[in-house]
Amino acid sequence: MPAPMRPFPRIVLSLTCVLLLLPSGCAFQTQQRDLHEPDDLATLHWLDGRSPWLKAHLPDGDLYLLSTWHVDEDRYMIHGQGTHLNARRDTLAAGAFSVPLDSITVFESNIVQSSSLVAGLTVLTVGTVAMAAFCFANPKACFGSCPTFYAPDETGRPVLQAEGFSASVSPTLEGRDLDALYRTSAKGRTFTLRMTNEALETHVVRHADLLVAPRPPGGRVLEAGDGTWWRADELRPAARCTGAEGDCTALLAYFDDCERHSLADSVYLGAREVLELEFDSLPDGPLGLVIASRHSLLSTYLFYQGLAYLGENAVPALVRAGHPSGTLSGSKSLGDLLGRIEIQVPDSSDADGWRTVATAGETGPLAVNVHMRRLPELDPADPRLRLKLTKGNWRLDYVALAALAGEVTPVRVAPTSVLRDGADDPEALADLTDDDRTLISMPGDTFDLVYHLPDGIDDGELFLECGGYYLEWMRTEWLAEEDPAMAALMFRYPRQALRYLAPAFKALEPDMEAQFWGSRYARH
Amino acid sequence: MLVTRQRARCLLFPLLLLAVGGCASSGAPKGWLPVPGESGPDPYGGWITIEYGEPPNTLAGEFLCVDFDSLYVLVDHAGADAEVDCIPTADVVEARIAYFDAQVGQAAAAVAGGALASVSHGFYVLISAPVWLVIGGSMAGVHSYAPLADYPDHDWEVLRRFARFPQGVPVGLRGLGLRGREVEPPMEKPVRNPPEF
Repeated sequence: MPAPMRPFPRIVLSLTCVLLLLPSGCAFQTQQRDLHEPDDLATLHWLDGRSPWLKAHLPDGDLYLLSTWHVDEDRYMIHGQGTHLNARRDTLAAGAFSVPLDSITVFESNIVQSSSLVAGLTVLTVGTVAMAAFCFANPKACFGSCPTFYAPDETGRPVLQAEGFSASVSPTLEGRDLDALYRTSAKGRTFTLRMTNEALETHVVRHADLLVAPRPPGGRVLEAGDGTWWRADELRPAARCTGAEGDCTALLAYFDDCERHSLADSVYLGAREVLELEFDSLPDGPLGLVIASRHSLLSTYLFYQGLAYLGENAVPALVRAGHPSGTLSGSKSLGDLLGRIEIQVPDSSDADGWRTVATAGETGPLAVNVHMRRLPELDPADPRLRLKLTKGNWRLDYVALAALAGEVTPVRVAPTSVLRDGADDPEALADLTDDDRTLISMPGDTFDLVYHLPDGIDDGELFLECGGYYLEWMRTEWLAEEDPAMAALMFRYPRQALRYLAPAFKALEPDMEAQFWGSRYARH
Repeated sequence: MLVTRQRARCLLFPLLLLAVGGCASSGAPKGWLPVPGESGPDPYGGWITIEYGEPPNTLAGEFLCVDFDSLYVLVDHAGADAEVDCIPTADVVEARIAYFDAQVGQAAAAVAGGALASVSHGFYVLISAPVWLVIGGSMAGVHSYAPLADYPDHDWEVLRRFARFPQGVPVGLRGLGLRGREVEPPMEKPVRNPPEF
């Protein structure tokens, strides 16, 4: 059986179209026609070299078409080369002529110019080629996501609150995802959440329920990662935060989109770093640590690069992804090596004086996720914590100690209506509320999920629990990078892959974030 | 690629803009108008389409000349029997003169080609193709108006420059035996296997 043909590279298609356009594009011309009196000698001089032909119209309808000419002011004549035509436009003579200016009724000039269409098409063409070259050279910086959820913040501005099941990249990895809608609150009896598909993906959403709990005055409700919800009466940022770059206290003290991040290691993408947190004092009672974070684009790059190396084998590989790891016995997967954010407490019995007590963090570079992890009893005399994380893999917005005041039980609320493009869509509602059905969302789709909030909760803390999976659309450019050996390296020897890919990622890293967000397809 | 109804609507709208709101028609027979650059030495007048009288009639042909009260048009331009028609300028309701071929078809093809080339942008095609269609289509539409001049937007003193005789009516105009521009007939399609008789 002959080998299948390589897909026709789209940049070649683009360049072909552009090259075909260029000759016709250059041909778009306009011409400006004007009449001039014979005694307007200055204009006749000016036209020389501007109008390719000068027409001299005579009273009887005759015409001199002159290709070259000069005005003899002393003899009041025009001399030139061209053709003499009668009113019927028969050619009477051709060659050199000298015509008295006072025998000419009017001169006609035609100045040929490039149409503004040429400039416009040139700009569009350059943009098209540049964009094609960019996408061809760097397809893994193009926007990727999973279902994204928007709700208004305190000012009423729609804010990206959550991204659903980011790690569920195939049916076998279908999962549930719980996200705190930390930057909104339940005010009134109705709450609307906008769900969008802003990437080249197919989203399969099984459900999207709200979990609502009454918020304590001045405090928050936090989920501990183990299915328990806790009332936190006080949140206390660290008095001092220190990373390799120096002091980062201000960046982590507020949930304000000002994030602390670092660059990936240039030799090994799995290299770790440490953030030291120091508190002036510890609140009384049980404590938790709140971390608001999102992934950088390192994991996105590695995921897309893996798909590119897999090429046409990507689909079966993703199907197998839900099964036991394909890495060599005893070794860690790529995801394991990048890891989550480790929360460490002082422990003199440990070799380096620190012990990991919990991990936090969630796949996805879009929405900032808020996680709380309960801490063991800390020594009030040593109010320090440490975060250990992969360099360049995380963006941290907020870190604080939470004084936990007791457990709460949230109320589950399913959507009561679903609007698609502003119109009620009962089918979509049934898809989200019947466990045997799923809602399929294609690129560009937008759904408004409307919830009726329970009575008795006037200022509710909201969480979103959604379930499903998504399918990444294979890009043609990626097929060009198919490399079974590199795919094997990534999935069977991930530690070596993180070294091998470090230079390539570092070359893209400085501009990747801007390119990623710039390539989003959003309609709101 | 799956085309959802809403995406189809998104793509259809600029296409409609291009098709409906877009390009102007010269009214001239195909191939009659010279292309720019060639019309410099072109010794003929522009193509004029006139709506005149009450009820309105239409007259079209080569714009010959205009004097203080009349408009002269060469009708049946392709043969030796071309006839000079004269219409009082007072009867003219509106008129359009085209004096070169803007190659609107090629412009539309260039825009369509650009939109096609944006397929190379992958997902960005959802942005760049409409940009091509809307901006490119708009510019092609503007370009299509470049060779046109309309009455009453312009008066006859301005419009006379597009006549064969901008100097005015030659003496004995009707007796000059004027001929129109000869337009090459379109090439016949070659017959692959001519029948034998």
